Amino acid sequence: MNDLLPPARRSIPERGRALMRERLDEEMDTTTAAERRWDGTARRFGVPVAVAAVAAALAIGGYLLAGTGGDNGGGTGGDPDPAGQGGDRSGQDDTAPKHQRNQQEERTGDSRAMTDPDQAYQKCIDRAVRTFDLRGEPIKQAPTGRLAIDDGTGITVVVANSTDVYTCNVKPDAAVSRGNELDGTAQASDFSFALNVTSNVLPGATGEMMWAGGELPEGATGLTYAFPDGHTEEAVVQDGFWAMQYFSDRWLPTGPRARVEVTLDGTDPQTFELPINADTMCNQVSHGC
Amino acid sequence: MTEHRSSAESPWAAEIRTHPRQAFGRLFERHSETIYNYCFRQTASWHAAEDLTSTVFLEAWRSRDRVVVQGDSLLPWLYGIATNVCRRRRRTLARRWRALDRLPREVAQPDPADDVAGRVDDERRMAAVLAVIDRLPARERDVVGLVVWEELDYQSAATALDIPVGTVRSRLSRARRRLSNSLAAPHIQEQQ
Repeated sequence: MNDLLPPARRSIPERGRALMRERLDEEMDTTTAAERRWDGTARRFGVPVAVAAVAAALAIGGYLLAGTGGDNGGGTGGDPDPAGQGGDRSGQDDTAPKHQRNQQEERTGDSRAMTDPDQAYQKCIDRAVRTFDLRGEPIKQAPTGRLAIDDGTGITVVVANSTDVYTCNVKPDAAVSRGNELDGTAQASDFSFALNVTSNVLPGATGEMMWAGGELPEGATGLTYAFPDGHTEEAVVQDGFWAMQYFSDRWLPTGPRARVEVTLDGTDPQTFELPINADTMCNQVSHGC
Repeated sequence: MTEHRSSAESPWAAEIRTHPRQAFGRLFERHSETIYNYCFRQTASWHAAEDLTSTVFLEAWRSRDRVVVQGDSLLPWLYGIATNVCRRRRRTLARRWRALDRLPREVAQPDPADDVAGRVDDERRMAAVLAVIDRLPARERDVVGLVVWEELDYQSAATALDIPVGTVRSRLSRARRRLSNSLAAPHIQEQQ
């Protein structure tokens, strides 16, 4: 019965094929460069670090034996918890000023996942130019504003020229959000977030990456996303721009009443509610919102 | 599945270890079209198939240390990744759109150089086929997709789905029986 047979095969459209290949090349470039850097670092510092670690262990062991009788000799030699594991940063000091919290996040990134920020900015610029045809704006040479988050779960960057701002998720996605005009005002749609269902962000982890960014509205000093799973994510703020990314290893709750709440801090505090539906976020992996 | 794992003798495994970038470039050139059509047959959307194919190769690259070679081919391994990627998309869409109480309609992104009408027609036809096939349990649907539509042999389908060959055979048999009950028997033939 022919009813259950699929239509004949087709070729991939040229443009789509080129984009796929480009995306794969970008991913391969990023990982191989990071691995190379990591290998180089390990080669350069491996032996001295190992020697230093042995010396430190001996010194600490001696101290413990002398001071406490050696009862605690086992220590806590486990690896530090990777940054952003499961997206839960509840252990973070919420009372610290925002910029300090942001620094904490940057410090806890997995060094193997770190990407040269300039490389990430350039990727975002190239993608924005390609996707939106920037009509000759000089973003390619000299972005007037930029900001990058790399917390070990992904990389989100913001770049701007004189009139527009673009946000990209460079990893695990390779997407640019639609350009927003730089006008200093705030409306709910400015905070729309893209979502990518993803895997292998962290070893063995599958979940959803939510990300957004843009220009900080006039008078605003920061902004916070409150997700329906109870997680709140403070945006990183720098040079008049902001960016946010949150990796959740569980599905984000959805439903008619599921909302993401965005709160603006500053001289004119405001709260925006974003319903969780296809109009407010994208789950297509290679398209912006 | 250890018998299918890559070995030092496998040219693909060796190339991926020594020249991973070149190997994946070749892999993409060789198999992207096959995976693209497979993803279309899982989604009834050419547009989604592009996204998913791209994701399949990204995921393959990210899991290149767990490559599985079947005979001399990596295609069953790619089919396995594609099956998971498409399944995940189906779950996500179902979940999101159920919440909104409406059905997703992918918007076709026409390529001027393309046979737009033909592609729209394909999508309509594939959606009708999937409406029937989707009545099957997911694991039987996967086997139908790989063995019947993609014409994989049982061994390759087993590698793709990481299940024993006998399970492929029994799932296919059950799928055929179920479909026969609701429709006239489709072209699902036993392989020799």
